[in-house]
Amino acid sequence: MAVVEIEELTKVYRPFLGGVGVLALDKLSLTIEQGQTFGLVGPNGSGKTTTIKLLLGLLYPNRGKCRLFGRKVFDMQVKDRIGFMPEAPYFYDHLTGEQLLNYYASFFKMSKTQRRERVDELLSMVGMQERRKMLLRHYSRGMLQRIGLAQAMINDPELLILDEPTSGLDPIGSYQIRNLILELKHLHKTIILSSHLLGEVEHLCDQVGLLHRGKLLACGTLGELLPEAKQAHICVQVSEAAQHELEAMGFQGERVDGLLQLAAVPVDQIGPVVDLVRKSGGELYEIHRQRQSLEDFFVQTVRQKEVASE
Amino acid sequence: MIEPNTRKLLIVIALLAWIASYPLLQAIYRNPGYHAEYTEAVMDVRAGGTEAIMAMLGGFRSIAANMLWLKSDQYWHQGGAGWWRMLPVLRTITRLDPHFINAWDTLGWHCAYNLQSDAIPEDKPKWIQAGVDAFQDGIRANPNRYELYASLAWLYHDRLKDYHQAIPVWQQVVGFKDAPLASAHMLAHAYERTWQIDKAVAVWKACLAKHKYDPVAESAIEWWAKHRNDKAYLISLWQRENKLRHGVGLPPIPRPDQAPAARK
Amino acid sequence: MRATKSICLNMVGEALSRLIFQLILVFGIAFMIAGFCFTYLAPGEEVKMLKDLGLTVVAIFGLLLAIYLAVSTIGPEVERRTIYCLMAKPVKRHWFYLGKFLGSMAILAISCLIMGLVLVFALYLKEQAWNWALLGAVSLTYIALVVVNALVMAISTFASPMLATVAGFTFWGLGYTQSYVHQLATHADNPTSRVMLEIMGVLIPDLQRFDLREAVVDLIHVPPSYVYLVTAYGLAYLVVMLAIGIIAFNQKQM
Repeated sequence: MAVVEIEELTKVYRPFLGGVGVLALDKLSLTIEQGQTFGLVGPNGSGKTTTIKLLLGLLYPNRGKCRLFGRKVFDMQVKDRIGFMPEAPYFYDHLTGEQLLNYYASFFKMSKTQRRERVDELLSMVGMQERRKMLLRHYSRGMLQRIGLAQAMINDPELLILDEPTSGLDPIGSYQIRNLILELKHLHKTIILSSHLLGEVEHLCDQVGLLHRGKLLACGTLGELLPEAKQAHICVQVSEAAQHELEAMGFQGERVDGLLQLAAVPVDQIGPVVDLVRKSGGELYEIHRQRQSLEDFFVQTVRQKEVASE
Repeated sequence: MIEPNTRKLLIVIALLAWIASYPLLQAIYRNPGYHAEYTEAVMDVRAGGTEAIMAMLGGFRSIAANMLWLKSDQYWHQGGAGWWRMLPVLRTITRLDPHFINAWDTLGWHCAYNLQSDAIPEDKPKWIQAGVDAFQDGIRANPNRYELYASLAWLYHDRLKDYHQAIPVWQQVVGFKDAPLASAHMLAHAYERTWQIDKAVAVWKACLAKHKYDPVAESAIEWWAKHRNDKAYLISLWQRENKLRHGVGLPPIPRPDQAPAARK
Repeated sequence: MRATKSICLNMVGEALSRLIFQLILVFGIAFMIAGFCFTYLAPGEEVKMLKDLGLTVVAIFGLLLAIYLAVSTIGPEVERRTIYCLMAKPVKRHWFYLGKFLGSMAILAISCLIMGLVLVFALYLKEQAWNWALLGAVSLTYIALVVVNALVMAISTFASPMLATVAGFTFWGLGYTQSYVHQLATHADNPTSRVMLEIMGVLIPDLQRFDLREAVVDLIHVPPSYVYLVTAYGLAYLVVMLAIGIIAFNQKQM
């Protein structure tokens, strides 16, 4: 079942007193199925945040439609089933973490007991149990991100929209948030993830949509978007003699920390290389099929588009 | 997004409410709780321009009146030219706050007593009349307060020694429930000065009936019981009165039993 | 309604925790207490001056608070993006707006009540009598402040905080001149100018009608019918401002 349906969605930002408008979204169409983790990527000003705001009803489209769970985005039944975490969230700094979650929980039909249990569960989930009584004005950036994720989850939503969830976090903070998102993914939530961090998107998402200047340049699974890997990187521990034999076969390698790194081995040659390593009594450490990264694909696609438009 | 029908409903409600505000406002202007004199008076302000603007903008009228009251007190203590500067300031206060009783009282008293004494001889009667006018204006603005009636009556009684003029005003003062006992006493004295002894005694008796302890009324009733028909005593009172009038530069009055009782 | 109540209570909590609200209230009370010093300069009119000053302080500081509250409801929520999380929840925009407005009303009521009680107590120290009529004057002033608050809130949905603040003060000043506009209309010779003045008189409410300072100070009786009419009048304009605000906020693109 399609959770998100966007059809020819167009948004133009016009100045208050009239004048030339800015085309933020140009006939965007896409569909997100239930249980998918969809990555929305694109350079700054590409229309990611505009798309999210249109889905949340914060903006009104000039043309086109968007529906969530088959209903209009302003429908309160839809709002009961979604959760949103904004980019670099600010919250009411006079509240504690616990009070904030209770405040957001009050908008849903929950009994006091259910609310209390849910708040406890979420604070544990995001690792904020010990800081529950601390005022939000004293929270660090990472803590705010975590409480932001918790509030997005307060109603156990079926659809989660996360805008730059790891923005501004240190590596440990990012790691923790990513793990949380993976947990949610395993709970079969539908997730829309908007991020600049393509490595993160590649790691977490099933499908990716690439926006550029309001247009959807590419959309599909990673397997569809990124070409099949034609080469492999192999890491082995072999003797000098075995290394010479490999060089004779045409595979130049580099010794690093006692291991031989063979780059750009054609896929059809992996078998012979592995056979030689076994025969020579060596050890196989790693075979990694090199696929084009999402970042490379992103840069390549955007550049192609820019050249075409010139 | 708001439903189109809900938006239309809101617009209709807003228009109806706005239209309803007009008859409500007209009803407010017709209600006895609305006092137009404040607005009318400020529209007429001539002196104290800054205060008038202050009064109009943001509702600082009463604060402006109080600031001017402090200014008038400063001028009073200056004396000399300060007394004359007090005049426009007091007039402005009474326009800004027509129910500021003390301001009217001070204005009337200041004209009739202080400015009158400082004026050149030809102008002295004008300043007394100015005091009378001030009290009468104040009474028109505050018909339900006894204080200005009492001040006007006192002006006639003490300053002008015109007891025939004073009597009707003292009668009005006595009509107020909260008027002090002394005002009834003054009415009785005014009757005595005009040789209307029966009326005087009636007033003294009324005082005693209203206030069980009134030694002044008691002794007056006792006195007039003995001297009610003592013509010689009454004539001596009249002669003493003329001496007092001569002392303050007022012409003598004819003997009460020989002069017309009603004066203009 | 559940959402409106939560938003209202949150607004009250937030405002009470803000230093600026506390400062406005403290300064207002300090001014009133300082009035004791001024009144010694006024011969024979200490009580009058204290009442005048006290009620004016309630009006002026109440106005500052009303405008501050209105300007700090919608704008900062959009700027800090706290509204995004709310709008993703099952909260209709007009319930959010009403919740914020009711929160402002509650804060204003608390402030006016505190300042009113301080004034009543200050006068008790002077006169040794409780003058509860002052609270009646304060309550009508409160209605005027709520109308100003509603207007500024409506303007702040589509204008900058500075513009909304200026509009609030201008509205207050113009509201106080409406009685004079009515006087001019009454005495106008020309029917055209009379009609135009009457129209001007309807565009902005006559805020002087909510001002019972002179009545309280000069001990003038105010019939209950006058109070009911003025309250209804204030509510009429409140409905207009709220409707405009709700429509504008619903149209707002965030």
